[in-house]
Amino acid sequence: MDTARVLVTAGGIALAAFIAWFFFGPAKERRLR
Amino acid sequence: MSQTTLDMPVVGMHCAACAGRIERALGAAPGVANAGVNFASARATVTFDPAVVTPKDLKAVVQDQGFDALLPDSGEDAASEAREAEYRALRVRFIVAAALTAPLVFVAMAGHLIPGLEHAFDFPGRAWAELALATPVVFWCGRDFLVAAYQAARWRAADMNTLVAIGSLSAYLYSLAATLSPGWFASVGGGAHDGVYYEVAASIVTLILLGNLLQARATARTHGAVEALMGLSPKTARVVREGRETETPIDDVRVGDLVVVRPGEKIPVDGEVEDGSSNVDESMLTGEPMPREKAPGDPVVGGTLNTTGSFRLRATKVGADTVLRQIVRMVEQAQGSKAPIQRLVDSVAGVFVPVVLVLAVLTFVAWFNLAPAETRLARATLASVAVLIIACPCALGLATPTAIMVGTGRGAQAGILIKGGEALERARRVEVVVLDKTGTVTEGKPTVAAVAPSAGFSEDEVLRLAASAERGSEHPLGAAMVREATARGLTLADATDFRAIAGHGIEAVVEGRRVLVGNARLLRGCGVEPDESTLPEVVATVAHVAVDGAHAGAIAVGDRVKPTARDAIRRLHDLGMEVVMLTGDSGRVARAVADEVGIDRVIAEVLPADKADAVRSIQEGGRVVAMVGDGINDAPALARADVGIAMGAGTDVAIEAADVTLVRGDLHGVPDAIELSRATMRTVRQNLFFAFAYNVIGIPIAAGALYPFAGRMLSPILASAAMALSSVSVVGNALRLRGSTIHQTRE
Repeated sequence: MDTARVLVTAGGIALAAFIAWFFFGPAKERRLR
Repeated sequence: MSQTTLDMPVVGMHCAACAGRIERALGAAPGVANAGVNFASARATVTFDPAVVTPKDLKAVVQDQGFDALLPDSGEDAASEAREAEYRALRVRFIVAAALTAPLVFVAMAGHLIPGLEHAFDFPGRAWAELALATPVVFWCGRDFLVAAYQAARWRAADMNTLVAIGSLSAYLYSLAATLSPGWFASVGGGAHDGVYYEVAASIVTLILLGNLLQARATARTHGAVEALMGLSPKTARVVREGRETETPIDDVRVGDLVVVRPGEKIPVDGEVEDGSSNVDESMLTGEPMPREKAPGDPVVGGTLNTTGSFRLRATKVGADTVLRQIVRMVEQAQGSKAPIQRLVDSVAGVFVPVVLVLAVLTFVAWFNLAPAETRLARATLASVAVLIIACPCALGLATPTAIMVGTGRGAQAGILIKGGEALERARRVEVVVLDKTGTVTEGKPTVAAVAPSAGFSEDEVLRLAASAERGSEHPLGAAMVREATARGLTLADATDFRAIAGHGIEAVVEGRRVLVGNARLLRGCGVEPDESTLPEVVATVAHVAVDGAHAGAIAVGDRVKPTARDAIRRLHDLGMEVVMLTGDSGRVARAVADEVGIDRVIAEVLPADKADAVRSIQEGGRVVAMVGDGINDAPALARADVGIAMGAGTDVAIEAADVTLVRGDLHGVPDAIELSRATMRTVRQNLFFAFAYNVIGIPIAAGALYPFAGRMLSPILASAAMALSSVSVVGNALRLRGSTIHQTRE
């Protein structure tokens, strides 16, 4: 296992999770629509 | 320091952040004590010192922030001007985008489509030329999408603009990188030229602009038709000043002015009759079809119609204080508080965008892990960007506008004017249809309901004599008799010695016989005892007819149910609607009408001002309500309802307040409009499917699913094909709507 691979994999999954949370998560202020 | 409060609609806000920005800017303006901007109602309320700052200055402050405000009294003209300016700006941006995109697409596609041209465009610096063409398209023509996408992201939402921004930006930035450093991507993907996607970036923006333009045009055309229906209200008044009648603009009429009103004219301002007398048709205000008699001292309301006599009135209320303007204000408030609905495409994009972003990230991770160490970064970048590029459906921008354009066009052919896409989207979801009684379910003008002859006379004979005698009169009761007699094919005789007895009736000689038509008092006064026993029980005004001193019969004149009403209401029931009738009339009259046409529920004895509240109370159950009406008194309810439908014969204010106008005034237009909206929205959904389908299929290919077999990633051919196929499918599908059947309305 090389470090770059581990970092990219972990970072990618974290980013994907963040995107999902950003759009679908408990919104603090949803658009007024 | 004196203070005034101004309430003005604000145009162009995308989100609550915009509202906050305008609020701060207004609050900081000199002379402003307090400013509040409501995003949901799209209105700004400002308290200010009129000595320091004018409403025009406040408008300029809003414009400085990149929005626009409509000042009160600027009315429909300013709104349509703003729409017009927006349309022109959009058209310029589209033309520029199309001019720059056309050579891009040609150079990119011709090589693939026409054998022999494969290398014709491989001139040195080609990528740089493409960069020069695409840059203004993405950043100038498409700047609204980028700004709107950013605004949406601040509220953690993704809509269509997000999709456009991601698609065009990723194609553009990737191509830019490939242009600056061709070797890096070429090592893993196609050749340098095949590796740029400038035409994709530019086409997305151009196609979406085209869609917006089509939609704006469809809306503008409907608005044009609606404006043509209006514009009938008086713009001037005949004011008596210094003993002379002068034609004065309506805005210059002052309280206390003496105004002359002639027969057949609309009354320009609120006032009190000074001298003269007349019958005034106040149906647009009260819904009551019978004209009211006006004598000196009686109040008259601006906008109502003077029928027979002429009189002079003393203005009591002018400008913003008139009853008409107050109703217009109520309409504006109701319209402002109507929450904008989320467009279907935005709700699809709201899910699609995050999913695509996640897929792009996962693609990157997968390639980084699978590819050989020396090329893994380039391959991973290429694959994840390819996912973003292919995911943006170019036809998306066309999906809704083409369907709405064809749908509203089809409606206009059938006399159904729909104000834009939002009205269509709402009309599809209608569950309850609320009908105003007078003028909507019924004719709204007096018609002969029954003729009851006395012994020795036939029905037609009584009607013929009465109508012949009434031919010389302009009274609405007489007009109804003449209409009915003509409809029955009776030949009217000439009347001589015609005499009108004000407030009672008329007297004339027909075929040598003395005919009296009027109320019971008139007949008794002439020594004839009227007999009502033969008349069926109808709710109507009764006119008695006497011939040569003997009672000949009675004619009941009332408001008749429209011939198509029953059929139209049955169609609404078939569509699964609940039908409610709303009226100011008594419960007994209302129930009788409702039973005749098959209406489920009646809300009777509603004051004109309470109609909007009645609609609101039905909405409270979360139900989507359409309101159908024609009078000024219906306007606030039309604006309040989710879908307001105005009868074309109705008043300007009602037409202005409504989302849909039925030019023919036939109730069949209501189920027609609902069916049309359902058909249109079905087409929109199909179009969205087509717009996404090709691109969704492209996503796994872009992610590299075919790499093991084909040895390549996403190719520009694939991206172009997805774009072209989905656009053609969408436009073709929308055109199918032209053939949709609309119930043929009959008179």
